[in-house]
Formats: sequence, C-alpha cells, structure tokens
Amino acid sequence: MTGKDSNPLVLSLGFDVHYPGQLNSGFRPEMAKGKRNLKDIYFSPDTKEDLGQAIDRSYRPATEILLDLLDEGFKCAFCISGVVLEHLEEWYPDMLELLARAATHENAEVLAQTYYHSVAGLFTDPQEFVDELLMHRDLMKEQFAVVPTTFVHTDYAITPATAEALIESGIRAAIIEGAATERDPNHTYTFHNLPVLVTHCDLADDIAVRFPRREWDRWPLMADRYAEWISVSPGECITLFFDYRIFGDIFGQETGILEFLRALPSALADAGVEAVHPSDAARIPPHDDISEITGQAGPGSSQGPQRTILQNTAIEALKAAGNLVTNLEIWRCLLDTEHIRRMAMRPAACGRPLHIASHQETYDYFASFMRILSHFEERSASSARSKRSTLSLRCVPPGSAFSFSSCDRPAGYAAHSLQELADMLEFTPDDIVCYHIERDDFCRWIGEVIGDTKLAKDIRGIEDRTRLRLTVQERIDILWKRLR
Amino acid sequence: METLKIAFFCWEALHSSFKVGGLAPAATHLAEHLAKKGHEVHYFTRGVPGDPVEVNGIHYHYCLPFGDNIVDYCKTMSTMLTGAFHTCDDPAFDILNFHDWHLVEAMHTLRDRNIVLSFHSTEYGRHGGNFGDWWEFKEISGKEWYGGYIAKAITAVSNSTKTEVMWLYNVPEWKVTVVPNGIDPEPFRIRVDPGEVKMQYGIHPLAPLALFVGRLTYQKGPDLLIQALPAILSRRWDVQFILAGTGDMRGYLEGAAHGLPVQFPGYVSDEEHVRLLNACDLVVIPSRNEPFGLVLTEAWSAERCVIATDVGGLSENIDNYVNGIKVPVRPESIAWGISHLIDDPAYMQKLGKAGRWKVMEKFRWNVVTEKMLGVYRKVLSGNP
Repeated sequence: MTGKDSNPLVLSLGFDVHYPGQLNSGFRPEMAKGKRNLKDIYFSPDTKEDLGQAIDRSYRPATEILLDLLDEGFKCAFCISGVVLEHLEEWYPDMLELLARAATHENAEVLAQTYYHSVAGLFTDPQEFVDELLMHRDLMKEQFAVVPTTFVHTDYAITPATAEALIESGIRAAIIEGAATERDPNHTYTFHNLPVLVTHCDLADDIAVRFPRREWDRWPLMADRYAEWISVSPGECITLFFDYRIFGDIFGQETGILEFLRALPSALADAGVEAVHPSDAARIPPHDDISEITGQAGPGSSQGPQRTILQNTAIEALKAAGNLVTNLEIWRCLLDTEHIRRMAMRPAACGRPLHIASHQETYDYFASFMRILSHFEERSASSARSKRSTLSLRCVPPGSAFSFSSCDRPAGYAAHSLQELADMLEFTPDDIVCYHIERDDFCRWIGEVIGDTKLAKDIRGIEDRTRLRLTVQERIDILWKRLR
Repeated sequence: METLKIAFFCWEALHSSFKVGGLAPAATHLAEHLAKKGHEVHYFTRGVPGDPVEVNGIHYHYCLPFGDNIVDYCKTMSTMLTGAFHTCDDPAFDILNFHDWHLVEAMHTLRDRNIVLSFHSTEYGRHGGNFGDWWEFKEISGKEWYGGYIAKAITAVSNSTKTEVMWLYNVPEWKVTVVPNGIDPEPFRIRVDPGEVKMQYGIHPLAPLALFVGRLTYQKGPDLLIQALPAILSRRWDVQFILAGTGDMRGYLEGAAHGLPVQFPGYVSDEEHVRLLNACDLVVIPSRNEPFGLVLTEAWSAERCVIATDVGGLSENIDNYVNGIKVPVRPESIAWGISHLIDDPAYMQKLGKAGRWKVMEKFRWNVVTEKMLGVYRKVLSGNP
C-alpha cells in the first residue's frame, strides 16, 4: 500500500507565524469618548509585551534552530502574516531580521496568505480576500524579495470562489485543512483546477495537542518515533502546518518541544522521509479531484461544518461592516480568524493550539467583539455619506439584540442587526412571530434600539409575517443604495 | 439450496394500516429479504380492506380483530389469522415464524408445526425492566412463557433479550439464537442541507439539534431526556430538541417541557424521519430498556453520533467513545453525555462515521437474513 520503493513519501512542513491582535475585552463605549485613536482602545494594550514574550519563548529559539537545520539542508516553509511583520518591524526589528534570514534562506519557502490572517474568504464577494492576498504578496516582495505561489487556506473550507480568486492571482497551489475534507490527507488533489495539499490533522495534533500530555499513552513522543509514524503512512505526501507558537510558547521549553524540533529532520532522514517545499509537493500528480466535496464540508451542509450561531452573526456583521466603516485597518484587524475561532467551544486544532472554552466564555468573547464592532460602526457614521443609513444598518451588541421568544419558550437566537432580523423572520416559528407582533416588539426595537423611526412607522400594524419581512428587506435595500 | 415456504405472524406490518412501532419494519424487512432470496413468504397480520395484498414479493393476509382489551383483541386476531393460514397451507408451510406474543393462541393451535418465535422484546422489558401486578401484565407474560415453551426455536434481537427470555421464562440456552434486527442503511443517508431542515422547524440553521425518535412511553425514557434539559441548557443555551413520535406520555412531557426549547412534532413520516436524522447533530436514546434499539442502527446509518443509556441492545452494540457514548439511566448522566458531545462537532462526526462502519459490518440485512435462515434450517433438520 505504501509503495515506498516506487514512490517515496515526502513531507512538507510549514509554520504559521502570526500574532493575533487581542481584543480589549473590557471595552465600554464610554472609554472611547473624545478619543481619536480607536485601535488602541479596541485592542489590548498588552499586545507588544505579549508578543515580546512569544518571541523570547518561541519565535527566537525556534527560528535559530530552524536556521541551523536549513543550513544542513532541511526544507520547510514559513507563512508570515502582514500583521505580525508590522509589529516586528515596529517593536522588535532584531527578531524581524532573524526571521528574514530564515525566510530568505535558499531551503525555505515563503507561503502566501491574507495580510490580516482574515476570514475574508468567507464573504460572498471575494474582493477583500483578493485585496489582502495582494497586499500580503507585495509585503513579501518588499521584505523578502520573493513572490509566494502556495497559499495557506487552513482556517476555513476552501470554496470555488476562493479557489478561482487564487488562480487568477497567480497562486499555483493551496494547503487546505484535513478535517474539512472527507479525503485521505496523504495525497494531493485538485479543487476546481487548483492543486491542493491536505494537512494531516492527526499527525499535526500529535504535536500541537498531545505532545506534552503525560497521560497520553505515547508520551513522551520522540522525533524518531514520530518520523517512523510518518514513514509508514500510506500515500505520497504528508502535509503538516503548525502555529509557530507551539514551539516554545504554547508548550514551554521544559516540555522538550524545541529539542524535538531540532531532532526531527535527522530522524526523518533516517526513516527515509524527504522534506520538501509545499510547492514541490503540490506538483505530485493529483490523486483525485475533490471539487464535489470540499467547501460543502459536513454532511450535506452548505454552511460549513463547524460554524456556531455566534460565529455566523459575527461574520455576517463583519461583512456588512466592510461597507459601513471608514477606517479599513481596524475592520481588517477585526477580520482575524482568531476572533471567530474563539467564538467556538472546541474548534478543530489541526496544528493550532488547542482551544477549549465554555459556552459562556465564547459568548463573552462574542459580546466584546460585537460591542467593539457596533461602536466602531457608530463612530464611522458621522463621516459616512448618510449618517442615518449607516446607523440603521449597523449591528448592535448582544445586550441590545432582538431576542426571539414566545410567551413560554425562547427561540434560542437573537437578531443583532436589521438584516439579521429580516433573515431570521424567514424561519422563526409562527407562534413566536405572532407573539412579537401582538406586543409590537419589532416596531419598538427598530424605533428605539436601531433608531430607524421611518421603518418603525412603516411596519406598525403589519400582521402578515411575509409582508413584515419584505418591508424590512426593502428598507435595507434602500438604505444600502443611499450609501453607494 | 431448497426454497422454503414461510409464514410470518406479526400484529403489524409496514404496508398495512396498522403500524405502531419498531416491530413492523423489523418483521416486514426480514420477510422481504427472505423473499428476495427466493423463498415464498406469507405474512399474516392486521389490515383493513384496501391494504395491499402483495408488496415486494410478500403475500399479505389480513384480519380486522376486535376486543375490549388488548388480550381479547389478540385472541380474536389469532383465531382469524389461523383461519387465513389454513386457506393457503397447501402445500404445507415449512416454517412458521411468530413475532412477539400477540398471536400465541394461533401458535397453540399450530403447535405441531415448525414454529420459530422471535422475541423483539418482553413484557418485562416493555415496562422498563419492571414486573407489573396488573392482570394484563401477568396474562401477557404467561403467553410469552407459553410461546417460548412450545416453539421449536427462539430468536432474540440481542444478547440481553436472550438472557432476559432465558431468565424470565426458564428457556434453555440452546433454544435461543441471537438474530439482530437488520437494516438497509442506504435510505437513511441522504444529502440534505441540515440548516434548511432546521429552519422548517423554526430552529436557527446553525443551532445544534438533538433528536429523540420513538414512542413517548416510559420504556423509551423521554422523560429522562426532558429532566436532563435544564442541566444541558445551563451550560449551552443554543441547543434545540425535537422529540418525534407519540405515545401515552406525550401530554405529560409537553407539560414538563414548558419553557424549554423542545418540539413535539408527533408521529413523523418515514421520509421526514430520515430528513430529521440527517439534519440533527446527535441522536439521544434514553431508554430504560431496549431489547435491540433500531433507532441506534438508523442513526448510525445516517452517520449520526448517538448518546444512549447503557441498557440492553444499546449497551451491547455501542462501543463506548468509539461509535457513541453510553451513560447510566439517569437524567444527570444523559445531560453530561449530551454536553460532552455537543460542544465538539468534529468528534461527533467521527463517532457517527464509526457507527456507519459498524452497521455495514454487522447489521446489513444480508448478514441478518442468513442468520435467520440458519435458525430455520436447524429447526427443519430436526436437531436444534
């Protein structure tokens, strides 16, 4: 099955160098009164210090190790986000220099991604995705004098739209996440004509999740054993992609993770596994075409497999915000996949640090996020073409959201914007809609919370749910037109 | 291999007007798969004029019984169906396969023939593993004992039912063979957009949905699930529940579920059942006693993850943390199990897939029908 003699197994190893901006979870609108620089208020002031710690614990020692290994002929890839490069340039130029030495090493490949490590690819309009992709490319050209050709697409499922955008932007292959596909990760595939590599989540999580666990029956994991697991895997290639912070920061040096990293290349060589660049691995003839299944991940779902209600609300709100806000930079920082990831209880790890949170914690994070996004939209209204339209179309934090319920049970969801209200009116059960109509709730929420008195007046007395929804939707369309 | 002429006696059938619980599909599909293998199968059951007399190679013979209580009702049914049996007993039937106790009087009349009695459950089990002191309980238990006594061979749907039958009715071990309920997994796995189905029930397309399918009776433990809800919802408040099916506890349950995110769509059609199965995120089986648990293999066929109580066939067939989670029969434990799973969609998918594997290996009709034929042949050879 392995076919090792005829077709040796190769390994492509990549590191995700990114430092997500931390939200200021204690943000309250009062804090922003009279303040110009909203970014400092929306995001945690400790970012510089925290990043410094991550550098000391992980970035620097890991990069030094990798530099030695690259010198010895080992091949690996780096995916460096625009955000982290900006931070390094501003605060830790010596680290940037070290990282640049690794990234520009002849045995290293630089991978492409979105500048802000963002969720833009989830939007129906790929414009922002392409913009960020090109921004990142320009940055890589400027900093490291390379044009990356392999894109890292691991944070959410690849879609036909993103695949097309990637091809048009000159990307020749993408790395996608194994958990999202139903296919064996040990092969290469094509997705809508784009060659793709699939990350091997089980093998990645042996390191990213299980490595330091003493209760794990394979603890302690040694490089030679790990290399052996890889070497006996079936198929042609294994793709592993790790959050860089795993090596030293998430798992401290005392766990032996850095020694593991140092010992891995020679162990791989002993086991007969060749390390190659992802772009080379992607040239292996594809095993199959997976256009049919990926992007439709999850059993028959069109929504993606693991999105929660909170994540969905946040993504929709972000999408709308793109056309409402004036300061694109803050908006783009809010697009960071990390924010969305933290709104799930147990998002797939697959090479990323394990994140386990209670529903309360995810909800609290969501609440801070929406408070900030809502405030940001309100602030942008004054300089918008139509202030009132912007305010009507903005999202509101959970405390002001419209919670659907009937006299005896909550429906389990809430609308955080006019658009979400219209969307939810499509499926809210009749008894719940009637209950709210009887109490005039829609009218009051639209008038008093959203502040659209015209629409509030328009829907007063409407008892038919379809008409109600259409009236709201028509108003939304008009408001958008005013902004264009 | 010679072809057999087989008579099925069962008080419900899939294509007749009487279809109450899991017995109908279990017996009907077995009959159909026997017919598919070339055997001649006659199915004696209840029905109204106009019900089909031949479906998928099975010859149906109906009667419309009456009676003031279940015992009398079944007695008239036995008399009528014995009459129907005699009209087509030429050439003589090779095997008479009775399903559950309802037609024991007919068994008595035909006791010299090659009778196989299939226990899909016992009266004790149907009452959640309790003895009843009312007369029907005693009467029915007596019939089950007698049926087991005069049958040439007995089949039970699981090891636990086998043990139960042996223990309750003093049946010797050699007489009982385990023949699980089969399933045709294909119709249960369909491509639907779960979000769309959820929306039809007024549920947010991304809300996790836990599904209970089955009769709303004490045996199936829907009350345990309802009691578990507050603990689940205190940790995760977007979970929604659908309890599909109907039964004597429905009114009580609806009252108990007041204010909770639970829906009772009542009896759902097969088609809707499959849609719900494929739309939900996990299937809850909180039974107090479950001889086999067809809902389990149905959920697995749809690649759904299950959380079930550690009883009977469920206990036997679920491999804990491999293709489902087994918990003790207590609301707190059910709550724990659901909470443990619902936060981790990837894990649920993994368990569901493993379940589907198990179905393909052990519960496909082909495998099961061969097992049943083995029992028939043993009876025919005269040395069971």
